[in-house]
Amino acid sequence: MNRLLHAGMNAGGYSLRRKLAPWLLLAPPILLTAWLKYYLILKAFYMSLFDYDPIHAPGPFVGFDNYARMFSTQYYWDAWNNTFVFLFLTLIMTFLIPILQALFLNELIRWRHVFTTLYIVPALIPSAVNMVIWKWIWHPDYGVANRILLFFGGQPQAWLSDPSFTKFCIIFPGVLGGGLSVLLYLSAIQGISSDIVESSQLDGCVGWKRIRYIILPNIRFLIFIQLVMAVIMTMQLLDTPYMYTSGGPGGASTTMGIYIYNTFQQDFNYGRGSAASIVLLFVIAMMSAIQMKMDRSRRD
Amino acid sequence: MFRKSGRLKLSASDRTLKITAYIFTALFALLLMYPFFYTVSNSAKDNVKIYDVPPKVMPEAARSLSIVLDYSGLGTVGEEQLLDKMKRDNILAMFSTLSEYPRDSLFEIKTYGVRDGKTVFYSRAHKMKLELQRDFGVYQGSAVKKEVLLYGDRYVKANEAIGYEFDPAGLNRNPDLPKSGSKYDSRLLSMFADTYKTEGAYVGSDVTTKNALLLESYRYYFQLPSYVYANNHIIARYSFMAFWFNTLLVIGWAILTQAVLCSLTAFVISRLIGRKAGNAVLLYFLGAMMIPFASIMLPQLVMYKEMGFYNNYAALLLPFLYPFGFFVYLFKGFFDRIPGDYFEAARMDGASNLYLYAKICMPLSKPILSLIVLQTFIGNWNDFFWAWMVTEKQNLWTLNVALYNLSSNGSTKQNFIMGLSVIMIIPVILLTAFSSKQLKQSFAASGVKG
Repeated sequence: MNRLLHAGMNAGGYSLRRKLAPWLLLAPPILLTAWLKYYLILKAFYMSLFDYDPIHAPGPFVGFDNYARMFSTQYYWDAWNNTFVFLFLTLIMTFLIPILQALFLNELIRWRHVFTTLYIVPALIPSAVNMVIWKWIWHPDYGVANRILLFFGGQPQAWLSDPSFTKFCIIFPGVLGGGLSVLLYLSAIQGISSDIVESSQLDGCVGWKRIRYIILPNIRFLIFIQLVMAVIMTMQLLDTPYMYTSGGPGGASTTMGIYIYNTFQQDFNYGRGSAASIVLLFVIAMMSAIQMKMDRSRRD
Repeated sequence: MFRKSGRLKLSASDRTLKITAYIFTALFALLLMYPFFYTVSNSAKDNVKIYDVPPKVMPEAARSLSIVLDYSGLGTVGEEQLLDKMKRDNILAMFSTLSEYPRDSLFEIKTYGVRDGKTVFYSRAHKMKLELQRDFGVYQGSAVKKEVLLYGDRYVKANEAIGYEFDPAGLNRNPDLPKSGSKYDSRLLSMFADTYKTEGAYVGSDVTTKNALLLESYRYYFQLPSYVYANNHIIARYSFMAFWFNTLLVIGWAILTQAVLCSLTAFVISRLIGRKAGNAVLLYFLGAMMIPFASIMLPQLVMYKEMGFYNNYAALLLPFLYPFGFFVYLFKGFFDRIPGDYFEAARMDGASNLYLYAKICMPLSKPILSLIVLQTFIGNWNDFFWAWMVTEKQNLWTLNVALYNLSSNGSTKQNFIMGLSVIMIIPVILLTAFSSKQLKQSFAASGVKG
């Protein structure tokens, strides 16, 4: 590539054109990205400094009042609390299972292809369909969840309508929907150099030992990346709790995303909604920064 | 590689691991499939059985009921008058049995009007069709009573919707009544003589089991949107297809923009500018990808509304008009590996940049394109919130938005919603079955990142 550039430079006046041409081609994507993505962050920050009035924009300037008032409401901290409970549940319920599935799939000699395909299907089911199915499963009267509980001698529960169960019920369907992560893990496991595996086998490293000492250390980095991605995705959780319960009952499933949505769509408080957006962005950016730092330290 | 070694040498530890692996995988696969069976089984129940406590695992067999009414005793009446009477009776017979026998799984009702030994009138309706008419159609919001059913010209409209055959010279359809009579005889006889008094005299009825009727239900589930949103002429005409169209339009547009923008951007980064500048630009695009939707949805909504991009296709499509950083990264990695000689040779012949891009890079990048098609599809297939926020008109809804709205609409029955879910799942299963190999390859390729 450099040779090409040098060749261009020798041509004198032609070289300027050659230098400019790539940037002319890059201009539309760069400008579109700036407009549709980066500009919106600035806009959110700008809006958060005003008592924003969408009809007579921007309304009175209030400085950081929106932030101060937001931090002093209990509802805001409840939303953070809910978000972190969701995060905790996601990590213990849905994060580890794809790793187990991939490890075991890798051990299968027959039927691996069929089972892998089976694992993918639930991951591709549209979220609204999943919501319809699981809302019916959790239904206190007509659902199968209470039937199973009764069968084992338990007491029927209100599930989604019970503030202490609702988060569990929203995260649980994800246990079955981790098929795409399974694919990632499986391809990473199968990408481990066969030299390592075979030489370890001669040393008696088979079965469970192989998983413990060969496979897991070799896919450790993918697990870490997936962990960080799961954290980032869960921090901005919005669709799923909204579809299942619209943030209820009594705000028990109101995540930060739903908090932002409710602030501007129900309370029409655009300024505070923007302030919450900026804080959320900041928190997620910090987490992404940690990820990139780890990524770099591995490459070095 | 593990396969071979596994066969060569199976130690005790290996054996327990393999057994555990098979048991775990099989159990999980069963668990995964359960929601499907649950949905299919529930969607095949009718709107009464689905609310049974305790819920049954399997739906009941579907039955077909034929009712025969005789008009010989009417004396001389004009053709028009006769038809009118039969139409009234038809509606009475169908809707009354529907409401009087809610638990009998009567999925099909046929009425025969006979006169002097000839069948002159025949009409046939599926239970779900009648349900739709009762809940959202002609009889929306009214109770099933004789006066209500026959009020004004409602019964005429209902007959048009259900369909009937009438020929005073005799139709080629003959009811086949059992000699011994049917278990419905006494009750229907009194019903048609009293509460739902018909003009024709009740002759008899026949009940047969016809499980194919359970499948026919899906046809009417599919029509649900056109009844619920009858005011929207696009939905009224195309029903669920309109939502499919919107979803495919959005995904198709996303695939198109991503394929073009990402490959072009990656081509410039990889081939036309220096390494340092290229990495900076790539970082710029990767950074844009990382911006969480939840934290820009508010300014995005405000900005789009200011530009008039609200409640129209522009609002649905514009968010995809920027290159997705991860795909740029994948394309760049791919273009970096194309040997430089290709380009040099083409340049010697005076080829322009665009020529290099269109004739050298793109034809070589078919595998990466298929990866992007699949991943864009998966990524946007589940998209809900933005589409839900910016669309008020029903004809703009995507599948997810439509199903969410239909399911939160209090008057839709659960079996209809379950049926629509099945209709939405089937293409996914087919897609997975046909493209599972490409999917696996695509994920193996994108896993390079990790």
